[in-house]
Order: sequence, then C-alpha cells, then structure tokens
Amino acid sequence: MDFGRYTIDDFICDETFQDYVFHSDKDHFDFWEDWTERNPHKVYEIEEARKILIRLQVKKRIKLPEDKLLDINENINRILDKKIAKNHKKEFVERKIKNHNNVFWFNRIAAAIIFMVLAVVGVYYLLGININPKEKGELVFVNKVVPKGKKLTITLSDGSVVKVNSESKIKFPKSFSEDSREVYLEGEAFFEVARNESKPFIIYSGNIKTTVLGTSFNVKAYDHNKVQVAVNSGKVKVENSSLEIEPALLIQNEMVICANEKIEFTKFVSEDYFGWKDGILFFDDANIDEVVSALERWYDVKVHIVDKNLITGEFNGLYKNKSLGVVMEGISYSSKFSYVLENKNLTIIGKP
Amino acid sequence: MNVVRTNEGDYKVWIDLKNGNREALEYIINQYYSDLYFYGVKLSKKPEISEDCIQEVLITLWEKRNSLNTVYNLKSYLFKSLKRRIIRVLSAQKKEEAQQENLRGVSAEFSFSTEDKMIGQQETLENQQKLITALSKLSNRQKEIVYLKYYQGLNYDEIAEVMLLKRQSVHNLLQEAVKSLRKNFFCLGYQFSIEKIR
Repeated sequence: MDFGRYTIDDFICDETFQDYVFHSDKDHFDFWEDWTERNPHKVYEIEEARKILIRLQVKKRIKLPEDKLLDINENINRILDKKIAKNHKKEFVERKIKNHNNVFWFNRIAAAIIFMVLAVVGVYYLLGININPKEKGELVFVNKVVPKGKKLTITLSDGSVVKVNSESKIKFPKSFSEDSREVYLEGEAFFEVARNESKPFIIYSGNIKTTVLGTSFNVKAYDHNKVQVAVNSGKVKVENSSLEIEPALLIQNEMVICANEKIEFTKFVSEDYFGWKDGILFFDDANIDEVVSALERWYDVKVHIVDKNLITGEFNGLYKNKSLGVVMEGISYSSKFSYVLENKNLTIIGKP
Repeated sequence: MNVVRTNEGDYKVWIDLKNGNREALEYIINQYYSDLYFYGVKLSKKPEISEDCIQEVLITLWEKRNSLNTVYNLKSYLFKSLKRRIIRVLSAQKKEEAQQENLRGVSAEFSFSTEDKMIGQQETLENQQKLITALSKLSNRQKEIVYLKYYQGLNYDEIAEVMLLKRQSVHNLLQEAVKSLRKNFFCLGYQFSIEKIR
C-alpha cells in the first residue's frame, strides 16, 4: 500500500489509521507514529484526518436504564418458561390420548394441584406474608456479581452509571426509594451519579459510607478494612458509620484511604487511577504483590512466583485493552524475572 | 496489515448459551440490548417494533442455540438478525410482495436528528444542526454505514456481516460517505477558520 498517495479520506477510512488515532492497537499505533515522523509532507492530511475522526467517533453510547433491562430479561425468561411448560403439557396430553384411563388421573392430579395452590396461598394469607413486597413500598434489590476477568456497566433507575470492576459485588434497588439512593458495594466501582439535590446517593462498603449529590468518583473496597475513595469531579463525603470521627470532604483529584479506624487523605496519583473503567491496566510504582493481585483479577489467572525475593523494585506501565502476553512482555522487559504462561497459570521466575 | 479481531468474551458467552445457561441471555441483554434497541429504532422508527423484534431475535437465539453455527461475534450476529427481522416486519406491513429474503439493496430509511444524540455529541448545537444537514444528504446506505461505524463502533468485518457486503465494498461505501461529509460539513468549518485568519 502506498500511503504516500493517501488522501484525507483514505486516511480516515483506513482501519489501522483509526487504531492509531484512538490508541486501540499498539502495533498500528507504533506503525503510524513512525510513518508520520518519516513523512512530514503528509502532516496536513494526517492532522485533518485525525481531527475529523475524533469529531465523528461517538465516545459514549447510550445505555438503557437497568430496571428496563431487568424487565426485558424477566419477560424473556417468562416466555421461555411458558414455552417449556407448554411442551411438557403437550407431551402429557399426547400420552393421555393414548390411554383413556389417564383421563381420570389427569382430573385427579389437576384437582390436587389446585387444592395445593389454594392451600399455600391460604397459608401465606393467614400468616400475613406479603407475596408482593412492592405493595408495601419495600424495595426490590438486585444483586450483581462480577467474576474475575470480567467488568460490567450498569445504568441505575435514576440514570446514574456504575462501572463495576472484576471480582466485585454490587447490590442496588431495582428502583430507588422516594427519599434516597442507596447501593452496597464489595470490590471496586466507578460511579457517575446523576445530579439530584433532594435525593442523596449513598454507597455502603462495610462501615464506610460515601455520600454524594451528583458527581463521578471511584470506590475501591475489595477489603472493607482498607477502602479507597477517589474523586474525578464534584464533591463527595466519606464517613465511617461505626466510629465517631470527622467525615472527610473530597473534591476533584482528591483521594482518601479508610483504614485502621481512620480516614486519611493520600496522594492522588493521576487520572489513570480511573483508567480500569476504560480498559486501561495501570501500574504506578507498584510492588510485585500489587502487580500479581491486579493480574489475577484482570485476566482471571493464577499467578505462581518462584524466587520472589529476587524480584525487587517498582513497576510502572499503562496497558490499554492488551492481552496478558503483551503486558508480561512489557513488565518483564528490563525486570529481573522471566515468566511462563500456560492456560490459566502464570509462573513468574526471579532471576539472580 | 490485515486486522483480524476475535472477541474472546463473546465466545465464552456462546459456550454458556450452548450449555443452556440462562445467565448468558442476561449477559447479552446487559451488553447489547441498548445498542440493538437504538439500531432497531433507527431502522423501524418505532420503539415497539424494535423491542418486539429484539425479543424475537433473543428467543430464537436461545431456541436455535443447538443448531446454529458457532457465533464468534455476537454484536454483528445480533445486528444482522435484528435487521432481517425488522425488514420482514416492515415489508409485511407495507404489504409488499411476499417476503424478500434477499436483503441486498433493500435498506430501511435512516435518519438522524439532534435529539437522538447519536452523532456529533461533542459539537456545539449549531454545528450539530449542520452535521445533521450534511448527513441528510447521504444515501440511506451511507447513513447506515456512518451510524454503524461511528456510533456503534463496529469494525469493517462486522459491518460487512450486518450489511451483507464484501469488505472492500464496506470500505468504498464509507469512503463515499466520508467524502460527502467532508465536503458538506468539515470543509465549511475549515474555510471559515481560514477566512477568519485573513
């Protein structure tokens, strides 16, 4: 391909060039970075193409609210259940026709089932158990569990968007109550909370309570005794509901660690801290233990270390949508270890 | 520099589906329903048609899971199935001649507006209006390809599957669309800025 003859349109429509503009493939990025440097006469076309691509590409697709998606899922499940029941009934009826005696049994069984259903309903009624909790204004909660190696984006009933990281659990009401918005988190999630002054948004992670009105921020609570809250925009209040200590008020680019019965501000490293939600794996002066737990969570692998005491120093790096192989090449480069990757097992071997 | 992209996550979901795991359907709904819904509304102009057709697509996917070939790319598979179904519904509605199985050349009408926030999200309102005008000058198929590429973020192979085109035709069609957009939208702004400098 003679890129030297490319017009602006050619650049825009070249998929590898698109990867370069959006940093979505390292090889293509490196290729075009190098090519543009060597071909300064095309700088005008390249810049125009880049500008237009960035303006055309939609960054954020609209997601329907979670309660709507849950309804759809329920509906489909109901239809499938009904179909299964219908098939069973069909088999049953066919057998019945074969054997006249069965008509008698069919009626008997039907009567028995109706009696049992009535009895169960009656018991519920007598005991005052509310079959439909919605009627009493109680909230119906939804639990989402995100395993290792996966991530999940949820739009809540108020329009707030939650990106839930790997190995995390989140519990939230299908639709929020009238006066507050409360969710429960174990693990890590990034919240973009829809603004609503009259209905505070509260996240519970163990005893740590994070309160906001409308903003975006990250809560890392894999360990309830060490919860990190970092703010991307807006204002956030963090408090420990079991201790009588001052709540912390955070604004943009501030971060607290709640551990050892204290809430302490710490250094906010960079916006890349939030990168996981965009598929960016980021190490900032991380030690080997931190690297290992991040890799296990991100790629759902089991890491084994041989001669760990030989692996010292800190690791830095930023990997966007990269395979484990690429990441390992990156961090083992210039480090004192080699590695073997087999199926779901990664062995890291320290070198003297 | 040919790009081959396989979607590992999709493959895992497909295996779950094969194993009769309903959670796979839940995952698909969470991951793709919104994109499908808006694509369906673009094609049919009616949210009800879009919803009904997606429901049918998903139920068929579940019921036919044991007889289907492996689906490596769920998004383009679902888009293709939805499009086929919507066109079938629309042509039945219009009482056109018996269902046309050949979708090539048949394209639903496609339109953009500033309200649907589908494109030009980062533009000013005035520029959005201009972009919509420029988009309206495209043919239906050009509009659809611009939508699939820049809103839905499909790659060329996926677009080829959804629109039943060869990869090269996808490239050519998009190129025509981009050329027209540049002439009618992006160049206007550019000339304007040059005049300003003078």
